[in-house]
Amino acid sequence: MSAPGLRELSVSAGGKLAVDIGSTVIKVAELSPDGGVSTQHFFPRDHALSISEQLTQLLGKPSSSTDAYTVSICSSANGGLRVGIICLTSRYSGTVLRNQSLLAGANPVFVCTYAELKRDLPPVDVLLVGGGIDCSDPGPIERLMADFKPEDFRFGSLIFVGNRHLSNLMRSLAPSATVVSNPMASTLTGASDSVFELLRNAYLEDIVHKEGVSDLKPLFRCSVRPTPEVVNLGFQRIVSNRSRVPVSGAAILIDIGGATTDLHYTTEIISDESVNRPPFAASVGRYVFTDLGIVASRDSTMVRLRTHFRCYELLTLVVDEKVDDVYRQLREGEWTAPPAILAYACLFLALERFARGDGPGLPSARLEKVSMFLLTGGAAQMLSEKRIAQVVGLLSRNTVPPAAIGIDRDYRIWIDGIEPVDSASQPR
Amino acid sequence: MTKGRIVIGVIGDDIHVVGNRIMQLALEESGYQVFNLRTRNRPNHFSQAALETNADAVFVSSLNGEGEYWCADFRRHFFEDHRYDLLLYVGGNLVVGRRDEAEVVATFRGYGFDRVYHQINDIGVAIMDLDRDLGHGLP
Amino acid sequence: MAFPSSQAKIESVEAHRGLVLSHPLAQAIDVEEVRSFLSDMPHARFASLAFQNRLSSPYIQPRGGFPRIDDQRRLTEMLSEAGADFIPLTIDSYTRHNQYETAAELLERTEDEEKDYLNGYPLLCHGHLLTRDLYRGIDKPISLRHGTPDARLLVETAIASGITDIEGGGICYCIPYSENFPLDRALLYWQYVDRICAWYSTPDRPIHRESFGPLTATMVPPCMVIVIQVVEALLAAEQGVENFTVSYGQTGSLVQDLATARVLRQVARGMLDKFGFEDVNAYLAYHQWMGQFPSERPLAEALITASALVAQQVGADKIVVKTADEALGIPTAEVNAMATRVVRYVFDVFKIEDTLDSHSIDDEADLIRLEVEGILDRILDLPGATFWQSVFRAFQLGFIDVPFSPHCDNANRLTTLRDNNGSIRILDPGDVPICEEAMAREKSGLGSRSSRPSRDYEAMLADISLMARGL
Repeated sequence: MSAPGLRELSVSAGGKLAVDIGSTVIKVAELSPDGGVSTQHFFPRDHALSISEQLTQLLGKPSSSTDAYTVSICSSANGGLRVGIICLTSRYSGTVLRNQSLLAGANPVFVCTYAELKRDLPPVDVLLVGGGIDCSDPGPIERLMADFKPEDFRFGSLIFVGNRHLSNLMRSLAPSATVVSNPMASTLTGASDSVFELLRNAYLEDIVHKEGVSDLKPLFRCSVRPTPEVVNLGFQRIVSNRSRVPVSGAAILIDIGGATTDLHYTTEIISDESVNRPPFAASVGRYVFTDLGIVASRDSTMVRLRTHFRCYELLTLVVDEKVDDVYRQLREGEWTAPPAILAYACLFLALERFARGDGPGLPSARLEKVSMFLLTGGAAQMLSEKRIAQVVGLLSRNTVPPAAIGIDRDYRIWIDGIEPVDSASQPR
Repeated sequence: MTKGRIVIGVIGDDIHVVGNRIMQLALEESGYQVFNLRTRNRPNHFSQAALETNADAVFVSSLNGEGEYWCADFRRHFFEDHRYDLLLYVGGNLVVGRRDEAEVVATFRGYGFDRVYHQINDIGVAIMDLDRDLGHGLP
Repeated sequence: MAFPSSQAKIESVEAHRGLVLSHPLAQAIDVEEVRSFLSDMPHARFASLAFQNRLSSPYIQPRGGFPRIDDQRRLTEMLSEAGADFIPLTIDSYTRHNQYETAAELLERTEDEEKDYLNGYPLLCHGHLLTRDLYRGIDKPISLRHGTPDARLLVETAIASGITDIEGGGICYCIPYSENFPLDRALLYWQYVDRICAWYSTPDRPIHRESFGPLTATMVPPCMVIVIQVVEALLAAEQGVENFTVSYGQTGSLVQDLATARVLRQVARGMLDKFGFEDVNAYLAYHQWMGQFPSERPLAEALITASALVAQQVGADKIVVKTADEALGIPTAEVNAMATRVVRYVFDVFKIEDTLDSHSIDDEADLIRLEVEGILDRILDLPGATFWQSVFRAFQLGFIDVPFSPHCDNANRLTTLRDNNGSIRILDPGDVPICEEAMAREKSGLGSRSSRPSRDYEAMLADISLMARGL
């Protein structure tokens, strides 16, 4: 594969490069001093090479001189940062750990309480074990924790983030456990961002070893952050009117990927009656649907679509062929949905579940309060604003105004998120 | 040093905040550590909070009469955590309409509450009971 | 660190407006048509002009909002005849929370069953054209009263209806009214409101903005009220608003009422001038007791009468009036008109030449000023690219903390009690940056308390319902 090296990208000394490593595409943007994008390049991911090898080939080996260009990297390669959460209760420690993981750009693969621990949970990069406020008489959690056997789980690293008085108990159960301060401290809603900070810097702090990704840090002397965290920061800039992307009012950003569909939202759309709560004291939340996507999660998306009671309605809006034929073939499992249709299905299914709060830890939203739906990522480029509006319209009642639809055609949002940001945009 | 950890909150869709806040202040002033779940709670919010904090007591309030609906079989929510000793208190305007106090108390005792304060506005009474029930003697 | 500045004015409001006004309930508001409608409206309908030409007594503004237009028209006429200077339009709580569909359903039910299922006027359901008709022939300013964190569409419709006095603000309509609405979002939405109020204003027909000082109306210390009022005045000024009313609710102490008015007026003026907003006119509104009202009518009437005198004494530009039936639910039009007459009578009969002065008022004012300046300095020192971000940070840090707020992110660490004079004293500042000197003075005020309950929470309960029970 021929790819331009650093010289072809013509990055000047002192310049800034932003790199987003996805599972199928590597995006490289050269940033101008005023924060604009001077050039942007897309390279198919060459799976014959490791990520660091391909990136070195693309950018050349950075020189050690101080006036070299600087690189910021984010990655969602290899399914992003997979996190498993073991907590004491779903409403308190489960919610704090899940929300901090989500905002840090990690994908919670499971959240379960000690009482419902089971074997055969999927493998994760990081297993967070937490629960309880910091107190010296922890009560039932002590007995519950004693049943926890690390060998029942498959994980890269195990981090204990629960009641600090139980750290020694955890070390005796799992000698390899790292202990991080309890984000709950003496509250039920979260007193610190310890888990957010931990996961946001997981690639940097050697908490997560991802083939190829972990080698980047010494090579480019740069930060490597989870892409969804970067996109979330970009979204925060947009909704606080600090971006070039104009948005007015409550907004939802959807990033449909190969393995997951990512949802970023302003929290004022969450229904007061919602059982699950958005992150504490934050105006922006995130949720990830790990079963909705157009490549790796294709099969689960198809099953969801096929069994959805409004499947036919959706198809009438998005397929160009004869709907009855497509519908029949789909129901019989004979239809291979093209990527664009899968992307519409991900959009529809994600929003429909968001409206009902149908997902572990997912709050329920009032979609009629949303004034803008934004889409970003590769899959979004295949879609049309008009059809997106129709799909969204399926989920809103008639009296509701047509929300604005925007597609991030020039991949502006992740670049907004990767530039240094001011402190006001940090959660909490 | 705290005299104990108490979970408090308003149950149902009742959004009265003043009484809830005063109760927090009163308990704190009496030396307790308070975890205030505030408004719009369901029974399992209380049981989960009691588990996270290893609470000594849970104090449920309801001012709009929804209590009877939400509190039915309240103690059951705590059984699976084996918290049989946990003190459960309830207070406020617990039922809709005028009903005999003894009857209301009996009903809520049947739901598993240790103490029931129907239309008793003085939080001091409940705090004195709490001190006694937790073995702190009379203040 | 970012100071308030006219640089913070949102430039791109047009793009946002298109989205806001595309809502079907906006009924295709044409902003140029609204401009010309406003330019033809009599000067008497403009709140700012009324304030500029006020003579002696405060203007009187009663309350009231009914779901049906006919009822609202009747209320308007009755209030006007009873001597109201400003006519209120109170919005129902579903519209306040942007739940327009529910408001529409309940309005329909109200009309079918001829029984009110809404606690105010659903402005968006009626729309600007019908609401213009509602005020045909009325030559007094209309004041919009609501409690809406995201009031962009509501205010667009209100101005298009000819309503020129817009109450609210990012803090004062979020922290006391909402459980979950994120404050940073509310601040951004109120920037929009301020911006369009300024956009519609012309020198001889300005749109007026007003903040809501009573907040939760439950034991909020004057320094917190004043800080929030001044911050909202500055945020509005940033967006080009040139006529702004700061306000506060009757504290329960004559000394504290007089001192609060003095400091609020001085600090608001001082801070506006300091940041280059010398052209902004600032006025003062006084809200009659917003806490629990006595249920006995004669006592309620006495309270209304007495607080009318206080409003006159503090030199308020406007008084917002309560009713004798306050403890009993939503007052009728007749009761509202009666309260207006009572206040009118007080103002007509008792003329006041000079405001009262005393050492205790001076001491109180010094203390409040010390606290307000300390808190404002700390807010202005906070990091943030713009002033609103510093304000948001101040809320996150608990520098801004409103007692008895239902909001899930409010710090709830500030606690207060009354002293022997009924003045609100700070018992524990929580994270609010109040200097040691000020706290020592607050504490010494409380130290002299006598014949009060020994426990703080018992005293607090008594203090909250001061007017309902008496000391």
